[in-house]
Formats: sequence, C-alpha cells, structure tokens
Amino acid sequence: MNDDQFGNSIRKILDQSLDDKAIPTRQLRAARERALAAFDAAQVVAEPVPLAALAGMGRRPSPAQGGSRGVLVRVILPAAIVLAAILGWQQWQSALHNDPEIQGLGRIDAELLKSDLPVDALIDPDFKAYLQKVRTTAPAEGTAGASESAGAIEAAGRSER
Amino acid sequence: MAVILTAGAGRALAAEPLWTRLGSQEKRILAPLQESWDALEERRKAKWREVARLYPSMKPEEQSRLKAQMRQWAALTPEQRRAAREEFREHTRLDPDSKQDVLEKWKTYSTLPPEQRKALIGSDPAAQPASAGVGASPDSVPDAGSATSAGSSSPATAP
Repeated sequence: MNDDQFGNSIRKILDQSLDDKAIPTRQLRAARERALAAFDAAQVVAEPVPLAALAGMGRRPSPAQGGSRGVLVRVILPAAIVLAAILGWQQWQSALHNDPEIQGLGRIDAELLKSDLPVDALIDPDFKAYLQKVRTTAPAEGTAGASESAGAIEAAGRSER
Repeated sequence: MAVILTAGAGRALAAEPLWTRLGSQEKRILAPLQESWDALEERRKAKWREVARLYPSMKPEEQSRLKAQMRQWAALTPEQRRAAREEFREHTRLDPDSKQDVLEKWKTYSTLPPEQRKALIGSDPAAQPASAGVGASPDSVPDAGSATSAGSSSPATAP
C-alpha cells in the first residue's frame, strides 16, 4: 500500500464516520445491551428468586450475601409449601367426608348391601322383567298375582329338581 | 407458582388414604376391598368409609350380608350400581308382605337354570317398562319412570 492508497483509506474512514452516524450508534447500542444483559445476570445471582430456586433455576446465594436467604429458599419456603399441601389435603378429605352426597350414597349402599334382598336380584334384568310381567298381567289381583307367580316359579323349581 | 405446587401436591395426595393408612377397625370392616382399595377414586373411598362408619350399628346378620356383597358391589360398573340403587329404592317402598314376596320369588328364581328363567319372562320382556323397579307396585308401573326420577337423589357420579 503506497502513501496515496493509505491516505485514501484514512480519508474514506473519516468521511464514513462523519456521514454515517449510525455505525458508532449501533456499536454503542450493542455494547449497552451487552452491559445490561450482564447487569441483569448479576442481579439474578445477587437476588435469587425463591420460587425459581425451587424450580431448580436459581443459584445458591454467595456467602457474602448472608445465609438467611439461603435458609429461606432451602428450608422455610419448601416447608411452608409442604405444610400448605398437607393442610389443603386435610381440608379436601374433610370436605369429602362431610359431603352430603357422599354420606347419602354411603347410607344407601349400606342399606342395600345389608338387605336380605341380594345385589344379584337388583341387577338381574330377567328377574326384573319377570316381576314386571307378573304385575302387569295381573294388576287387579295384587298380592294374589304375586302369589300365583311365586307358585309358578316354585313349580318350575320343582320340575328342575 | 406456589399455588400450582400446592395443587399438585394435593392431587398427589388425593389418592389417600392408602390401605396401610386406614385404621384397624376400618381395615377389618373393609377387608373384602383390600386388594382394590388403593386404586379406588377418593370419592369412592370416602363413600366406603361412610359405610364402615355405619357398620358397627348393624345387626350381625346384616354385617355378614354386607361384607359378603362388598366385593361384588365394588366390581359393578357405575351404571349398574346406579340402576341397582334405583331398584332398591323402589323395593324399600313396598309393604313388608310384598317385600317378603319378592324375596321368596328370588330365592326360587335364583335356583332355576337360565332357560327356565327366560321361559318365565315370556315372549317379549323388553316391552316391559324399563323404568319400573323390582319392587314397583302394579299401579305404579305406568308412572314408575317419573316417580323414580322424582324420588331419586342419586348423583351423576357413582362412587
């Protein structure tokens, strides 16, 4: 590079710096952003967010920042959350047991299961249909119709035996 | 975040109480359900614990019947349990003689082979009103559906 070329390049750079103010501005903006990012990162270290720390995102505070914050993050806050969960669960269980719907179902099921009419009789659609048939075919006879049907069943039972 | 963590912990604990955490008396009463207990939903557990609470006040023969049917009852589908409760509700409305009549009929009917049971039903059992219960009286048959629904308090869920 001779002297003329060198002079031209210098001139060009100087001219550009005069004409294009955006170049140094962009550089300054980038530097500022880098500085801000570094500042933010430093703040995260200096002031760890407890919940973020619980989620594994925080950093242990440095000894220079005191142990009380570490105790808060590592002991007190988790303990408080566990305690809240236990209390919430107890309230939920209590609500379940005091739920009138649950209690009503418990009473119905207890009555049903201790009844001398077995569950099989309640869920057998053929038995239900049979009783229905007896009652609809002999509605005026009432109990007599039922007795008739009982007789029919007994006869069937005897023939089976 | 804390709320989410707490709610999550609550859900994790909602399957409680596990069988091992039941009291000794509850374990004794609910013994037929031991194998399936831990898999039950919390609402069904609460319902069964209510049954266990009522158990000591029952007569010995009632206690025997209840324990003998617990496993079968728990194995039914929610729809079957709901239908059975409705049938039982109708049955409880009968007078004592009619209840006894139904019981006697069942005792004999249950000994019959399937083909004879079908023969007793007749030609078209499906034509019978589906909503009429086991214990429905003849006069109540046409209105059995509305009476059942009006008198029903069974919930949508079926613990």
